[in-house]
Amino acid sequence: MEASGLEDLEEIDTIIAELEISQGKGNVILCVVNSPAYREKIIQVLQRRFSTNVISVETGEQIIRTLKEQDFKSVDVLIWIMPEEPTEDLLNTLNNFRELFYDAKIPNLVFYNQAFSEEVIRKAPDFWRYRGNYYELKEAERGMAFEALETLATPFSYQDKEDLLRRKRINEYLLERVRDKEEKADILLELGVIFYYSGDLDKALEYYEKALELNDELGMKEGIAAVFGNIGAVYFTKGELDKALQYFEKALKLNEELGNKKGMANQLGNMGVLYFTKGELDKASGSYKKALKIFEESGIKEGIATLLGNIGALYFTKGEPDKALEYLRRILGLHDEFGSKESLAKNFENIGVVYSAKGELNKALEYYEKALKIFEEMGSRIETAKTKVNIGDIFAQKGDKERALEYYREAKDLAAGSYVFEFVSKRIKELKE
Amino acid sequence: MPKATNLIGAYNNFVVEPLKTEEEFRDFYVERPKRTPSPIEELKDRIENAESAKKYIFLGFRGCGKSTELNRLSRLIDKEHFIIVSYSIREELDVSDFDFRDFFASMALKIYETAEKEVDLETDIEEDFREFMMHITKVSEEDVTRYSETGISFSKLILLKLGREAKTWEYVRKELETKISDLIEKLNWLILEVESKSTKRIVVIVDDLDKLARGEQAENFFYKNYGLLIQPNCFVIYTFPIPLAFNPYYENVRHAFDVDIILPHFPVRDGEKRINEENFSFFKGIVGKRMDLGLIEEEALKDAILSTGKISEFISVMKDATIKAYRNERTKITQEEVGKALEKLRRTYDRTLTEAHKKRLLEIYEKKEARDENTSDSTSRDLLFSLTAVEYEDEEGWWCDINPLLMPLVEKWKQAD
Repeated sequence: MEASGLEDLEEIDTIIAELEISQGKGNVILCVVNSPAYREKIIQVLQRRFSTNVISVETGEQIIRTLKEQDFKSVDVLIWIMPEEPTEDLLNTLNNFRELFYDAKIPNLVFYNQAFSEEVIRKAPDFWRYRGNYYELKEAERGMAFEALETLATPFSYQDKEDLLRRKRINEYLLERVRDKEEKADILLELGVIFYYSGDLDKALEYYEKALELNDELGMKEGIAAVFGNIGAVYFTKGELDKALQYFEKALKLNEELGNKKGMANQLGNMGVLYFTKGELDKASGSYKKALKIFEESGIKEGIATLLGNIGALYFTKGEPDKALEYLRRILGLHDEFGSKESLAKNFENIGVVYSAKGELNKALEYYEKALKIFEEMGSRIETAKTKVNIGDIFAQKGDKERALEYYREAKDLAAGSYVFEFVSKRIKELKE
Repeated sequence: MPKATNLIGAYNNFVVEPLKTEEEFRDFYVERPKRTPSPIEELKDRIENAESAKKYIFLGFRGCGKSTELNRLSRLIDKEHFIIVSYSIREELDVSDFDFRDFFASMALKIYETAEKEVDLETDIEEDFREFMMHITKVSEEDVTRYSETGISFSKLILLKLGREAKTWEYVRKELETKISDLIEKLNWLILEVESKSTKRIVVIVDDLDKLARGEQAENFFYKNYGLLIQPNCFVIYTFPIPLAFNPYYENVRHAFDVDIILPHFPVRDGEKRINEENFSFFKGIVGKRMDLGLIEEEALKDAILSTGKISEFISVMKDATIKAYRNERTKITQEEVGKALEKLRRTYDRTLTEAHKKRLLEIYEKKEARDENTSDSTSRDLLFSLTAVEYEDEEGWWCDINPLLMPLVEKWKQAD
């Protein structure tokens, strides 16, 4: 989600720039968004900047009448929301009355889903050709589930915020008492990680710098490599991708010198995530596959699973859901061997996300429910909450508002104190509206 | 529309609409390459020097600049001697559902609209025409009076009903089942009246007939009724759906018209992948007219030209790259932005292609020709129509290739094949 969030943010920012500079002129900007809730969020952002007229489209006649008969003098942007199903009437209208959008003399932003978009390209090619620009926003497709795949490879886990705070207190306490420099270096590193996960990136960087200094003093190359990787992760999260890449490369080089296969694979995996975020999918694919190979050669099953997941996500982003499923299913096969329940559940969830994007909602539900069962057994509150949000989304898409709300509410109760809480609260609010 | 000196101006100058106004032509029009010139000058000469009223069909793929060239023709023809009636069928009728009867009714009304402005029509001719049109559309005298009070003219009212009311089409089609020759006769009376009184000849340009939505509808219109299309006694230029030109019937129909004029795509690379400098310069000229060339890195421009090579797509990519550069706070468009714009479009096309499409595109890529296997196979036609395959004309004659944008996908498709 971090990555898709950043990517979308850039796209939305570009849409705003485009609407800004098309003020007072006809323009047609097409925007593919699958999730109505996400679309509403975008519209709300735009409405803070522009005076808009939002039209939920039902028929072609409605488009013609609106464009021909209305006066848009006090409106900056016309926002059109196309229905889920592209009808022949709508496609014909778009194709044959495309000029009307330009005649309105204000920019038009047209929202529709992926299926609608593909039908426009095939069956309303003249409208498609008349676009000023188009965007494909990913949030709805990748959802919350892919977040797990994009977490950078930092060897650290925690249950919740409380857990994290406790670990912070312990490490700070130890830092004051420990005299052993190697031990101290490890504590500094872990404190950096704790601040990283708490979202205090500058503080994290501060500790990593201290850890680096100490490791350097001690000549502990392995420690230096680990710190480099973690500093890279901080810059990555800050969005300073070039700087992040420099650190991942430094870490990779050191790990290569040390012959540390796992470290090499971890850094290659990080670089893959970084390229993926930059949208350089071929480079991402290259890094992921190199990392996968190393993990396979070293027999590190967990690493293999993570990389298979990442490659699955990559194919998913490239619009090749079947290939994505192929990789994600390979993880299921691996699972009996290394048996992490959590990763199995996350994988089920990711398969659900792919099916959801393919529009196979029942299949998606089937996998989400498998994931849910495991997360509940594990007592993993946040993951359970996230899965419930995904299930709620499916019911929302199916038009079963009540069941969607039921799942969202359950998720909200579980998610208190985490970012999922805010996320799900918004979902509930949007659904109620 | 001054030439842009910054990225905001450039963004707004990259418009995909056809050129229309004098200002737009003055500022943005670029002469087509000398080896594949616009056929419009020749068509203008043909019309101005013809002894009798001829009928022409005008063909061109989507996005190759047809409407711009037809708008140019309207501007070039000598107005001292000709009256131009130029309109888009899409503005008057429902393109997804009209037939030759609605079409002739609309053409008659467009000519009547012009006639009213140009000359004082003989009362008999005018009344006869109006009564006939009211009869076939079931529009009453009261309707006409009521609407004229709100500023809607007779022809506008009937065109509105014809374009928007299913009930009116039904009347018209039923009535004209047996009376189409009556309508064409009245149409020809109008033409004669206008031409004799104004001492000018009428040239009708019907744009967007090539956009007929359904294949069967297009075939019925052009193949079953082409005999009617040549009956109006004025010059008519019909835009013609290019997929129909790949149909064996085309040869029969083509000869009924005086000439078929094709506006070709021209390749930026030849079959051997060498850059065609003249064609390349044409695309560069499009950018150079719209913005200062200092606003784009030379290599970035080259990438955009070599990866698209058809006008509307090229302009779209430039527009997208421009907004990306603006957002990146650059002073000029770089290869990164052009690359991203191209990749986005490429991925979108790739997703819409079926396995059968990809297989055929690979064949087109290898053989440089696009043929369907038999009359029931329309894969190549669909690809040409959607512009994922492109037909070119250059010194080597006519040949086909896949859209240059898709070239980077060839290896991937081959592996999957």
